[in-house]
Amino acid sequence: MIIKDVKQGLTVQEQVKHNNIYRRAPHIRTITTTATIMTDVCVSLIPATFFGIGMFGAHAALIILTGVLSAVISELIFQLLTHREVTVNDMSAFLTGLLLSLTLPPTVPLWIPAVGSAFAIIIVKQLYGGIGCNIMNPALAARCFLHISFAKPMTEYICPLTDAVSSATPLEVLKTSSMTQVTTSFSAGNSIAPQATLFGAGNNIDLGGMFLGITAGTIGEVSVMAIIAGGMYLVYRKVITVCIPMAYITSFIGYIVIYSLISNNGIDIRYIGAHMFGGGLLFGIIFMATDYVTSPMSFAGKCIYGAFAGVLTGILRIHGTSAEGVSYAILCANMIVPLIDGKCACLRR
Amino acid sequence: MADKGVAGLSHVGKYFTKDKPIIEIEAKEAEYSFPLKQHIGKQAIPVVKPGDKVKRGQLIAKEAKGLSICIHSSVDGTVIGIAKKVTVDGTMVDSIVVRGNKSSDTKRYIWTKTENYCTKQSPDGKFSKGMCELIDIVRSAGIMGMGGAGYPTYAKYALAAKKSIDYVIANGAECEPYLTADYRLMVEKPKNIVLGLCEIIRRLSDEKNITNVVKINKNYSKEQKAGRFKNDTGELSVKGIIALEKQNLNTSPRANDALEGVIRAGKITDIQVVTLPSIYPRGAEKILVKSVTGRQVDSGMLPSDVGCVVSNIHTVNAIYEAIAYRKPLIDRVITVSGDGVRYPGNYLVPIGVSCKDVLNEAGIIEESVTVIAGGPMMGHVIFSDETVITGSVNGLICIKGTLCNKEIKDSSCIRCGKCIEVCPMGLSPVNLVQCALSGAGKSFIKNGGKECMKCGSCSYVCPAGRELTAIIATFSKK
Repeated sequence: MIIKDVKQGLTVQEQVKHNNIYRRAPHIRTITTTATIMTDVCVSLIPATFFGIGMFGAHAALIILTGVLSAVISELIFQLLTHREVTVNDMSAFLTGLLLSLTLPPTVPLWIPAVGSAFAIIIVKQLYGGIGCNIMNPALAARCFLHISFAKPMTEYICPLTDAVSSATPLEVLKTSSMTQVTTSFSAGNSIAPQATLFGAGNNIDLGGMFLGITAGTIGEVSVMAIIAGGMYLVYRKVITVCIPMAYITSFIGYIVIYSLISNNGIDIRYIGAHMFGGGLLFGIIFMATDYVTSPMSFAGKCIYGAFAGVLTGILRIHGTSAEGVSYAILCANMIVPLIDGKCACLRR
Repeated sequence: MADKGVAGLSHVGKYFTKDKPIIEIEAKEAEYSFPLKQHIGKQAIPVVKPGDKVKRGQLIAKEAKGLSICIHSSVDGTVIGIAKKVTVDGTMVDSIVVRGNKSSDTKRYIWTKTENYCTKQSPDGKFSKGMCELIDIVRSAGIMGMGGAGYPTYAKYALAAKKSIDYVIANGAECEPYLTADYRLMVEKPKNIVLGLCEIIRRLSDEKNITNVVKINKNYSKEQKAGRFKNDTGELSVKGIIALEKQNLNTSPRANDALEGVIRAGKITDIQVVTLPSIYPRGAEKILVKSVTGRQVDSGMLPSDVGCVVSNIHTVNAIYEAIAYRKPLIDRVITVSGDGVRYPGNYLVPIGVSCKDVLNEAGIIEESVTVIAGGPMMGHVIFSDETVITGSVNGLICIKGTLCNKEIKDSSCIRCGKCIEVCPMGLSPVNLVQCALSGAGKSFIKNGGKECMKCGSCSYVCPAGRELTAIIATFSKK
C-alpha cells in the first residue's frame, strides 16, 4: 500500500478508512449488492428445495435446516473469535449451507450436514480469508469431504415416496449395467446398443421420471424441472450468464458422443439424456460451477473453465470408479481458475 | 467494445429538468471570478488592473504562449483584484475578481477585436482564408471544450485542419444521469447547432480540398487559395454528424425532430443526426467516434488521427454565436437538478458566477445538501459554495442525503466480473485495482490502466461497493 493521493497526502487505504474516498465519483450506484445476489441464488433454489422436501419428507427439511443453521453459526462464531467483521448478513453463509444440504442424500443423520457446513465455512472459506478469497467452492468441497470421510451414510439413496428402501440412483444403474452389458455384448458380437433394455417407464432408468424428479438421488438434485426453473430465474435476474453452463454441457455431451463413437457403441440419445438428467450434473452446472468466487471473470475464461469441467466430468463418470463425477470435476476446475484468470482476465476485447 | 456500458443509466433523474425551458439568470451585484486557468494548457495573462471598469464581453486576460485561451468578463463591473478561487475539481486557481454592477444588461456585450492570431502565426498562409477566419474568431472568443475537459477549441481545429478530416461530430449524447442541458439546447436552439456545424464543416472542407489540390499540383492559384472548393458532386468533403442518445419515448419534444426539422428546412445535405442507444458512457469521445463512424481510436491517439473531430453541442453553439453575433464565451447553459433545490431547471448562467448565486436562484433548500458539479457519474462534490462556474461545468446536482442506493463500504470482491462486463474500454478494473493496491505499476500499465477514462461504470455496478474508479484514478495520477 503505497499510493499517495496528491491532494490529501493520504494513502488510499487511509482514505478508505476515513471515508474520504467516498466523496469521489461516481456518486450514484446500482442497487445490486453482494447480499441481493446471494439472496437471488437462494430464491432460485426454492423450487429444488421444496421439491426435495416434498419428495423425501420431513427428514430432508431437518437436514436443510441443520445445514443452514450450522453454516451461519459457524461463520458468526469464527468471525467473532477472530475479531473480523461479521458478514453473516450478506447471505453467503446461508447459501453455502443450503447448497451443501441439497447435495446430501435424504437419509443422512443430522450430524452430517452440521459437520459439513462447519467444514465448508471454517476450513474452506474463512481460513482462506472469507468471502471472495476461497479457492474452492465451499459447499462442494464439504460434500467431497463428507463423501470420502463418511462414505456409508453418504451413498445410501432411497426412492422418493417410499419408506426408506435403499435404491440405486439412475447413474449407478447406468454405470454398473453398461459396464457389464457393454462388455458382454461386445464379446458376443452383438451390434444392438446394450443400453436399449434399460430405458423407458417401468425399467430402471425412466427419463420422464428423472425430469420430474421421481427418482433416487440427493435432496436437491432429483428434479431436473425445478433446477432448470431456478437456473432460468438466475439468468433472468442477470446473476449468471449462460456462458459457463453452455460450455460445460456442450463439452460434456461432446465427450460422451466421442467416447460412444470410439467405443463403437453408437449414439443413443437416451444414454446421453440419462447422463444429463442423472446425478448432480445440472445442479452442479447451474448452482455450483457458476459460483462467482471460484469461476473465472472474463468471457473467454468462463468458456475454458466450463469446457474443462465438462470434459473432466465425462472422464470421471465413464472411467472413474464412482458413478458421480460432477463434484470432483468442478473442484478440479476451481483449482485452475487462478491460472485461467491470469491468462484471460487481461485479454482485451 | 463499443456496446459495453451500463444500459439505461442515462435516463435516471432526467425527469427533474427535461421539460424545463432554459432560463436566464440575471446579473446581480455580486462577485464574479474568472479563473485564469479553467482549461487544459497554460494560465492566461491578466490585462486588467484592480480598479479598472470592465464591460460584459471585454477581454480581461490574454493568451499565454503555447496552449491557452482568452478570458472575457461576463458582467459590467469593476475589477477588484486577483485572488485564489476554488474551481469545481477542488483546486485553488488565481482568478480575476470582478464586482458586477447592478444593472448589467445581459443582452448586450462587446466583442474585443484581437490581433490576427492565425495570419500572424502562419505567414505562409498555411490555412485557407475561411479556416483562418474560423480559428481567429474561436480564438478571440476564448472558446474551450464545454463538455468537461476544457481543451482550447481553436487548437483542436487548427490541429484538425492539418489532418485529413472526414467527420465533425457534434456531441449531444448526454449520457450522464440528471443532466439535460444538452437536450434543452438542442430542442431550443437547433438552428445554432446545425448552422454552427455547417460553418465548421464548410471551412474544414475547403481546407481539406486545398490540401488535396496542393498535394496534387504542388502550387495553387490565388482563387483556389481564397475561394471555396467543392467536389464535382457539389458535396462537401467533410460531413457533419450530430450524435445524440435515444430519448425516452415520453420525452417531448424530441431533440432529433428539432434538429432534423432545421436540416430539412435548410436543405442541408452534409449533416445527419445519429441516434445512439442509451448506454452509459456513450458520450465519451473515443466511444462516440467508435459507435458513430466505426473507427477505432486506440490509446494515445486523438480522434483527429482517424479523421474525426468531436465537439460538444455547447461548444458548437458557442462557435456559432461567435461567428454570427460576435459573442465571446461569456455564458453557458447548466442543469441545476436534484431534490435539494426548489426550482430545478436549465439555467443560462454567466461564466464566473459563484455556485452560491446560482443555487440561491434555483432555491436551494436550507438543509444539509450535497452539491455535485457535473454529472453524478464523473462530477465532483463541491465543498465550498464559493466555487466558480467555469465554461466546462455542465450541471449542479443538489441532493438531500445521498444518491447511492446502498451503504458504500469496502467489502470484499466476490469476483463476479461485472466490472469487466461494463468497462467501455475493455479493461479489467478488478485486476487494475489489484495492481494499484499492491503498487505494481508495471503490470498496471501492461493491463491498460492508463487507458481508463474514469467513467465510473465499474464502481457503479460493483455489488461489493468497491471504489474501483477512485482507486484506479488515484494510482493512475501517480
